[in-house]
Amino acid sequence: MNNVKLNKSLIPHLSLAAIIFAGTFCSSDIFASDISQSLRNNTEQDSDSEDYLEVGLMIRVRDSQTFKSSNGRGSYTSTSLFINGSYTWNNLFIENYSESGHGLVLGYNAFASDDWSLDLMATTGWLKVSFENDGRYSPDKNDELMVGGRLSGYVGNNIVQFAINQDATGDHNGTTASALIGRNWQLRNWNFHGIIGVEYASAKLNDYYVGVSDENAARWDNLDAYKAGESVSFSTELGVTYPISEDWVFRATGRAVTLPDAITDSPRRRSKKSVATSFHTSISYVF
Amino acid sequence: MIFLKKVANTDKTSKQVLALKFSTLLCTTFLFIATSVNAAAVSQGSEILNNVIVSKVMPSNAQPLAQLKVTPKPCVALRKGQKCYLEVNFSWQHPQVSDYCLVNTTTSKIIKCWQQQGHGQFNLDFQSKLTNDFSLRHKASNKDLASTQIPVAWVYKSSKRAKSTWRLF
Repeated sequence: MNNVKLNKSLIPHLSLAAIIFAGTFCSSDIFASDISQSLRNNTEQDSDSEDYLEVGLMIRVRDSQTFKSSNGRGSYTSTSLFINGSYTWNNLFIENYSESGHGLVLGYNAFASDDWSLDLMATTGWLKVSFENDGRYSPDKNDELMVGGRLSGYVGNNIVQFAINQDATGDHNGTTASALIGRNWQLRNWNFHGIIGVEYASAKLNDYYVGVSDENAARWDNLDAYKAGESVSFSTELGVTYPISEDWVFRATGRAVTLPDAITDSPRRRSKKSVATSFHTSISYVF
Repeated sequence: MIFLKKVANTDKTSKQVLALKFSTLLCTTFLFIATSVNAAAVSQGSEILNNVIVSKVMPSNAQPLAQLKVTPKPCVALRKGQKCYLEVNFSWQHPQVSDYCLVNTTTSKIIKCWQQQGHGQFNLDFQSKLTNDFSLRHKASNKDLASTQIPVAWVYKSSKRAKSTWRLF
């Protein structure tokens, strides 16, 4: 049953992903003549992250599905402070990037070559900055501790990354697996980047966040029991980074994430939007 | 000193305030010294006027002969190793009308020459990964009459990419 639902839900999402994919790479072609620094040329092929710290102020605008328990707002604007930084000691690292959509990450670089790097890591929800609501957020379920790995590779002018993560809290034992490809290009001092990706989420994980147990369905009049299946979703991101001075950086990023039927079919959801979008802009001070 | 004595007689909170102010004073002094040292290191015989480094070559009678300045600066790129882009304006003057050239001494290339002029301006689309030095010279000479530079700086001092910035999920 879940497989049928998965295949059915993939059709509109694949169409959207195809449009996003085409749009992203057509854009890249347009800017291709302006690419003065490719990924390979402007970076060392080194597995270590840069040790640095920055604090910033971010404004987020997002449009996404809503909870039945919420006030019905599908979009809103918020302002928040954020911290970005990383520190590497031997092969151990600690990092936090607000743009990643993750919280604090602790990891170990297990393998590194000129073009590939493998990290084993634990991803937490601490210091997490949320963008679009992909369905995996609930005020009473914000604990997050995932363990897994990510394999990053430099292929031509692109960066590819494969990641797999498993819940370590024991709350749901869910699993995610993702693959993405990204590239950047420099137009004078403006640094543009584009990323597209696909993610698989297990039924256990989806059900933890959007499922409705028989007990809860019996407790609430307007809530039917629901067991979520596994899902596949697609994402894209386009952004720009500009160095205002040696210490200040400006960023602006737009993102879109498809919402699978496993999420939108949940009776806990008020709207049935199939795409969640967000835009955020920030200014940060780099120490 | 009077201020210090007065504060010394007050309570612990005031001492902390004093310590804070003293620290601020020390930091300000340190920054002032550091800025001065930096400015001196940029180009010997330079002075800072409205955040513009003006370079002068001083003759034996201590009268400035030539001036060369460039605005704005520095050029800032996001990451070390990236090419930096900046639209700059050079302006120069010399008390003697003659043939002069603006030279990029880092690349040893002549940017522009003027004939029978005592002053001039030139807009340049600066593009470089490195700090570049510039000089005003007589057309038929390699002697620097005045010098200045466009420093290239970066926000992220390492050329290593923070790989996790590429995560999407």
